[in-house]
Parts: sequence; C-alpha cells; structure tokens
Amino acid sequence: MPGKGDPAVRCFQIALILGNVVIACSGIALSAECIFFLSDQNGYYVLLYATGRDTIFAAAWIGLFTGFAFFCTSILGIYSIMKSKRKLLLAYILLMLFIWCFEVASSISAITQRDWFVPNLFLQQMLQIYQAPLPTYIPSTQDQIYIINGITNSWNNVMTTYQCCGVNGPQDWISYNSTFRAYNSDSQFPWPRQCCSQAGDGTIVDVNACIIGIPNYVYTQGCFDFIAGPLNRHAWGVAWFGFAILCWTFFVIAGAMFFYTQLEA
Amino acid sequence: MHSKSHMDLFVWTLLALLPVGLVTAQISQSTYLPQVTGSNVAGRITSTTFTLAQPVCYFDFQSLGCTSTCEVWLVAAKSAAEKNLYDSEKTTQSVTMMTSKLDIFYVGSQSAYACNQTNNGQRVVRVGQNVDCVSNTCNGPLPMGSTVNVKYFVVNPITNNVVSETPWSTNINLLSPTDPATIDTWFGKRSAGMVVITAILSTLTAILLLLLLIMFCSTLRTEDPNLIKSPINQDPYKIKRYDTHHVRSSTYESKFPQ
Repeated sequence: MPGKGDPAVRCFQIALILGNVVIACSGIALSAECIFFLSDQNGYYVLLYATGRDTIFAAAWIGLFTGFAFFCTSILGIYSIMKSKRKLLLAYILLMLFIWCFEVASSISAITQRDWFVPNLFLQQMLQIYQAPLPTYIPSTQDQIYIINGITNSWNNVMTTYQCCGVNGPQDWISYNSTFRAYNSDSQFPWPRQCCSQAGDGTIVDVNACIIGIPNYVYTQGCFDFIAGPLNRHAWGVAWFGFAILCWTFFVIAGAMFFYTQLEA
Repeated sequence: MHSKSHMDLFVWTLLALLPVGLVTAQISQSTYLPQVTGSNVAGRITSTTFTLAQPVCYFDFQSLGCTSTCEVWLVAAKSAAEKNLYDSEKTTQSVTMMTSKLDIFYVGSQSAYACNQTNNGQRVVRVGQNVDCVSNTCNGPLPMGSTVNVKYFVVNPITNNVVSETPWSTNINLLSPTDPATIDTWFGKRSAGMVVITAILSTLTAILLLLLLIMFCSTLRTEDPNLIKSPINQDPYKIKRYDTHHVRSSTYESKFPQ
C-alpha cells in the first residue's frame, strides 16, 4: 500500500469518514424514532401484549440501543481511520459487525410483526377481554388484571377520542357474542355507551337514538384505522429506516475491512 | 229461484257470524306493510331486538270511528302458531284477552300516528327494548335468533276491539351472534416488504461475515511471509549509497601514483 500521504489513500479515508458521519447521524435519528415509538402515545402496548404480538416493541427497544451504538462506534471508526491504527480499526470492524447483527434482528422482527396487525386480531381480543370481570384471587393474576384493565381503558379511550366504535363499526358488538354481551343485554346495550355521540360537554346526545343506531347519534366508523394506523406507521419506520441504515453501513464496513487489509502491520 | 238460494246463503252466513258480530265490527285492512328501518340504522336488527318504521298517516282514524282516543298496538308473533292465534282471535276476543297469550304491546296514541302530527324526528318502534319486562305487554327482549312477524293494529278503547290492522310483515330474522373464538386472526399472506427485507438483510449479513473471513485470511497470509521476505521487501529506493570498494579503491590507486 502506498504511504499515508498518497492522494488516493486520503480520498479513501475521507470517504470512509464521511460514511461514518452519516452512520452517526442516522444512528441518532433511529434512536429518536424508536424512543418516540416506545413512548406509546396512545397506550396501545397492552393491546399487542394481550395478543402476544408485542415483538414490535422489542424491535423498537433493540433499535433504540443499536442506533445509539452506531453513533458511538462510528466516532471510534472516524478516529481509527484518521489515525490509521490497525488494532483500533479491527476493534471498530468487530463492534460494527456485532451491532449490525442486532440491527438486522430489529429490522426483520419489526417488519415481520407488522403483518400481524389485521382487524380480526383486535376484534377477537376486544370481544373476549373488553369489560371482562377482574379475577378475584391475587397475586397470581396480576397479569390478567393488567390486561383486562388495560384493554378496557384503551378501548374506551380510543372510541371516545377518535369517535369510532368497535373494530369495523358498531355491528361488531351485535354480530358476535362477547364478554360485554354476557354482562349487558342486547336490548339495553347493543354497544358500549362510548360509541354514543357526545355533545361538547361530554354528555351523550341522545341515548335512545344511540341504542337504535341512528347515524350521527352513534359512531358508525370502526376504530381499526386509528389503532393499526399508528402501530403500522411506527413499525414501518423502525423496519425500513433500519434497513436503509444497514444498507449504507454494509458498504462502510466493507470499505473499512479493505482499508484494514491495506494497512501496514 | 236463483236469487232465493242466494238469499238463503246470505241469511245462513249472517246467522253464523252473529255471535262474532256482537263482539266486533269488521276490521279494516291497511295497506301499510310493517318494515324494518333502513340499513343506515346500525341497530336495525340485533339478536334480541329490531327497529320498525312507524305507519304514520296510514290509518284513517276518522272513518274507523275513532274520536281521539284510539290506540295503536303491535303484535310480534314468534311462530306461525302465534300468527294463527292472533288471526283467529282478533275478531272474537278483546285485546286484553289476547295479551295473555301473545306478545302485544301499546306503541302510541292516535295522535302520534295521525297525518298532521308535527314530530319530524325519526319515527321508530324498537321491538324488544324493555329489559325489565316480565309480562307479554311490555315489549321485552325477544328470543335470540328467532324469526318474528309483526303487524300494527288499531284498538278502540271504548269497545276494546281491533278496528284496523296492517298485513303481517315479512319474516324478520334476528341475529344469531357468532362465537368470538371462531374468528380467524391469521393474516394469510406475508407482505412483500417482509420478504424483501428478510432476504436482503440475510444475504448482506452472510456477505459481511464472508468478507470478515477473507480479511483475516489475507492479513494472516501477508504477515506470515513477511518474516521470510523481509530482505526483499525492503524498498530499493531507500538505500542511499552503495560503496563499490573495488571501483573506488582502483580509482584511488590509479590516482595515487601520480
């Protein structure tokens, strides 16, 4: 390999350094994105937790740490490339490969779990768990208490906030048997009161019209889009942004490996 | 002769109907067919209830002899036997008698069904509405998944008899709710994005590991021969001066004698 002062070597070093700068920036961005997803603004975690499809959150946690690790390691990379230190560069390459594997896991699990978010997943869960009575013996059922309370509250919250009812619409509540139906007569509560249109002060406009299901007195839109929408968008971001970073990092790592082979022992 | 036999028939018929005629006058038939409300009403049919449109301005109360006190009632028959029971007893029994055997309930006063009523809201009757109902006359929930026929009729409270009625509605099939455990939550098919990401990332990871292997091999190979080749490896340009003793000495010697 030609000496350090060679313009070709300089160019290659600069390219590698720039590549690492990009990794540092996008690593921080990935971290931030994962933090935003994990903050779970709408409280949907429990909906996924109860179905056992919460790996998307695990993917975001991994993404959060790998993003930050990419940031730190790329700084080490910049230093070792500038100084052309062989040992440091080897440490950088191995660290990068290690983080790479985790980020691959994050990206793949995010995109894989995203497929699961179909209306029926939330429908079945809503029918079976919404307003279920709490188990009476403690503490072996803490988990169930968390799930029942969490799902009931989440649904009440979603339906009133987004003015929607059920997963596909109010029909969900009358065409299926449910825990809610077991405790509420079809005649009195065809659907929860949260489906009823509210006036500005939060009172129900007309309960009887809501029970009959007259448009504008009951929310006829389903909630699926409001639940799966944010989850899908975030999962999409974690998966594809992670994928983009990985594609870029691939070339940087490969370049760093080549640089390593050309350095004098 | 011909006309006489007709007369006889008429007389006999009249005699046969005499006991009936004492209870009630003839029931006038309305043309209104009871119907479930439009499909934009979410709760038009549930498993124990359904919502009917009201026959506003279909009964001609004046010609029925109603002054202002006539009542509109509804009968909900859950089987053909109940339909027949109503049809056989409507002319012979008072309404109060029928309520002991049939689901019959009051759905409004004459004024609510008159043409000049001013209520412009949605006019519906929700059958099966009253959960606290224990008798036949209070509109309690219907059996889940049953088939029901309904008809409206007008009662004159003075005689307590049916004076007008609509035809039976077509069959109204209540819902039989599905068990949520039967819902299929499988998503069916993997998305294209999932296939692309998984395939590409697996390949790239494999390539990187291969590159790492190659990197180690190449550095080992160049380090090992280094020890043997070290003299050759020395850069020939780096040798600043090479003394050719004999040449110099010969020059010197050649110069020396002079």
